[in-house]
Amino acid sequence: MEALLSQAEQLPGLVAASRSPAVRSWDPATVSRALGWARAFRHLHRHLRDAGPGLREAAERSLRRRGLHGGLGQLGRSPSLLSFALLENRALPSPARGRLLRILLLPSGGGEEELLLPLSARRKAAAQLLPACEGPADRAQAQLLLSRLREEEEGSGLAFLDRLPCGPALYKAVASALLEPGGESEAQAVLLPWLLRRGGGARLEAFCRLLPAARLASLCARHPGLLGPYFGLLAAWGGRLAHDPLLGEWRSTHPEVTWSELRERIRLLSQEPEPLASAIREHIRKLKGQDGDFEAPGLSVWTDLLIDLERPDVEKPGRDHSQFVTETWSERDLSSP
Amino acid sequence: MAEDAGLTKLSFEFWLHKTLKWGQSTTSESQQDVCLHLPELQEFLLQIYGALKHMNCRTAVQQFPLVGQLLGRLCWNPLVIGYDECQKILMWCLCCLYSGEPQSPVELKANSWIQSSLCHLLSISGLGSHNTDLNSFISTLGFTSADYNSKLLENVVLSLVTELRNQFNQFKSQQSISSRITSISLLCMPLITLPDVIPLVEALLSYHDGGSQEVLHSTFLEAVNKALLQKKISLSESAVVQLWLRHLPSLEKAVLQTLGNLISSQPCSVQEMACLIKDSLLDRAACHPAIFRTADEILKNALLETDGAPEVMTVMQVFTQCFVQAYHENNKQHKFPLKAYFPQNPHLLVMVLFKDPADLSAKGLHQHLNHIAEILKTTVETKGVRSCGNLFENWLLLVHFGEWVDIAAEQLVVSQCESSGALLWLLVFYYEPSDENQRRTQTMREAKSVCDHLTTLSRASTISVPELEVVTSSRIDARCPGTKHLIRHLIVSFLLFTPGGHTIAREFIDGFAVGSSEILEVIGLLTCISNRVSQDGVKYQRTIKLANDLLQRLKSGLMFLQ
Repeated sequence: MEALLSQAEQLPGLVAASRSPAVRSWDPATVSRALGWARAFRHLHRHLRDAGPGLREAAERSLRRRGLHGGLGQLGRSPSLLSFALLENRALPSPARGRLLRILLLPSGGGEEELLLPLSARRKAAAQLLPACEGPADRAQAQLLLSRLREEEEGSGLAFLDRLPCGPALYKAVASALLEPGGESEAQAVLLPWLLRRGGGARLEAFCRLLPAARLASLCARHPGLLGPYFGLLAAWGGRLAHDPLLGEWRSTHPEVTWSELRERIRLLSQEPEPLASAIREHIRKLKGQDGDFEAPGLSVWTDLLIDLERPDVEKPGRDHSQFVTETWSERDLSSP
Repeated sequence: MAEDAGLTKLSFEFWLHKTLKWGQSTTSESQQDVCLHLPELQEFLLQIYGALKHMNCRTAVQQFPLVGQLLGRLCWNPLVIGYDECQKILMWCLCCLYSGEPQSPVELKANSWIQSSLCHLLSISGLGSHNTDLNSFISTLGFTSADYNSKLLENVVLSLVTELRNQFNQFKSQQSISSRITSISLLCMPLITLPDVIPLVEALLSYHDGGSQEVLHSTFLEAVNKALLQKKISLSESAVVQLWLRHLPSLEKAVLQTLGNLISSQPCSVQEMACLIKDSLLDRAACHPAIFRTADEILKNALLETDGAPEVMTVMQVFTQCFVQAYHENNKQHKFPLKAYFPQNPHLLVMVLFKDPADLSAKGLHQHLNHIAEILKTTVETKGVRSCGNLFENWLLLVHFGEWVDIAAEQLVVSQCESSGALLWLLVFYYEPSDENQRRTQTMREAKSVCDHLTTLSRASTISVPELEVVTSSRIDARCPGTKHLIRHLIVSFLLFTPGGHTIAREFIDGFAVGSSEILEVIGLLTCISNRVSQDGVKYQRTIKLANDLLQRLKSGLMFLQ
């Protein structure tokens, strides 16, 4: 068993190779060997899964020691990881690909992938066909992230998140995972600490910039610990605005911060249920006080924001509309270098 | 090659033309056209695969110049990819067209096109640049696009189910909601056999918008019923009931298919028939009166068209038994009154027939039978209501609960008392409902004399086969069919329930039922009786054993005849 597990050490390398240009040198025999090897590990995974907890935990430890962070779960997924990596890798030469397709797709291929691939294509088509409205894609990513975090050893979740490529996909998945029912323990143990880590201001700022105002408001309502840092960012953004008396509006030297954006974010926070709504007004009043507690508009951005909050909503923007506005804003912002 | 028979140039052109048209429009008419053609298209794809698996890419393109264009376009139609096994067969075809050692530009081009098509079919879909970002995020998580697609669909289905349960966004107009539901149901049609989508199918079936118009697309309803009847999917009982309540053609198909299965499975035991009925869910669905009445109407028509064939009568009886059982077990839901199931019959009559004979003592049984006979007699003979329709409806009701007739026949041959006129009337009415030209009176007279003869025989210490044969030879032949059936019933009961009958049964039965229709009739009687008494196994041990012996004998005799 130990000898077999020691071979598993090479799995991450094999999967990485299958995604790289290195497959240029693969011939049909290499493909068969690699898939056969991965299937052997899936077999081992099933064997260990059905074994007693003692054996399973020992194997789990041994795998992690050897750098397989996903443990047994990753062992079980290795054939499909390898298959998809090879299918999508354009560098694989024709003879090797010919073999791959025969093994994976044809009825005599003898693999479980023979069922998995059509099923996956069918599911993809189904998801495309059905007109769902409420962000199922975000939730799917969040659930995968959570299930992967659950596979991690206790205490190594933060390190795992650090290994993932930082980008919109990760931030969106983290945000949705923070709102996912049943993800509370991962939120407290890993996601919030990762987001609010000392010295991680740039990450938090990128996170908050990317996400729509409504999403951040719900996040603050669900996780009050987020409100302070988020409001800190908004305060900093507000500090960068200056009033243009000729135009009668707040403008910024930083193109990524706008009055309407700030106003929208504050508004949506103040529309969340108590105690969040009062807390946000309290925060703004404090900043207004620091600015000299003026009541006349145009002197402090916080005075103007408070006035805006007290104003009866003449043209109250619908939530969907505001989400759309901020979303396009964020995406434009990200795509610019 | 036989497999190529359907693969003409014309057929390729037909499907390519269709695919082009489907690609140009996303209207509901166009989607409906796709859905209607999907089964046929899948057959065609199978034929293509059958031909391609013996060819390489070059020969395939020479022989079927349009194959690449057709398959390529189909890969981009999610209705086609989502349907049943279309995606699998398409992938097989692509695999056959792939050249391991591409020589010509055509093969190189085909390879590159196959690679892109497969990626399109399998990889994560998204918009533009997000696609790569998401793809790399999912793979660094240690998952594949298969994991993602599965989770994505799960959430899509969940979101739609939630939307349906919450009766949709309050701000939208009812008309736009209804058209959205219609469109969702149509788009679901190809996906019905995908297990991930079943919760959505069930939620759609239980959705009602309060209007009088059917909001679900008929193509969807038909496809769900077809998949259900073919056992390709299984739905919750309430979803099935909803389907049958809202779509009459589906219910009719379900009843006809079950009826066909029951008839073609005969001769078989009552338990086997009950299994077939329970398997169809019709017994429990029938707890809803509208479903019961439709199913019952179809059985009645079958009975009329076959001129009261014993097989159909047995089906009706077993169906009723299963329904009564389901009706009593159905404690959770709202219970409908019995009147709702049999609106044409007097309530009192329905009540007495609905009683479970097992709940009555031997004496109580006799009294109850007398009671049934009295009510029935009063009902059909009362002046003023005495019409053909009334007579027929009440006779049909008795046919549903034919078990009572069996019990009456048993009582007639075993009880030696004389007060059996009411029981005899019940039996006579069952076999000869019409009193045209006083046929029933005539039958009654003959039945009485057979009964008296049997009673005399049962009092004798020993009897011989010829003594019983007197009854059959002198009376059965030249009479009307009702009388013949009745006398057979009495004789079978005599054989099974009297000690004298037991001694001669095996010897007697060979000469008794000779033609295949007679054998079938006696098998039917034996099956029903043995099923009834098997619930009281200890008391009827000998009867059950004898019935089984006789059944075996008759069935082997039947095989010999056939």
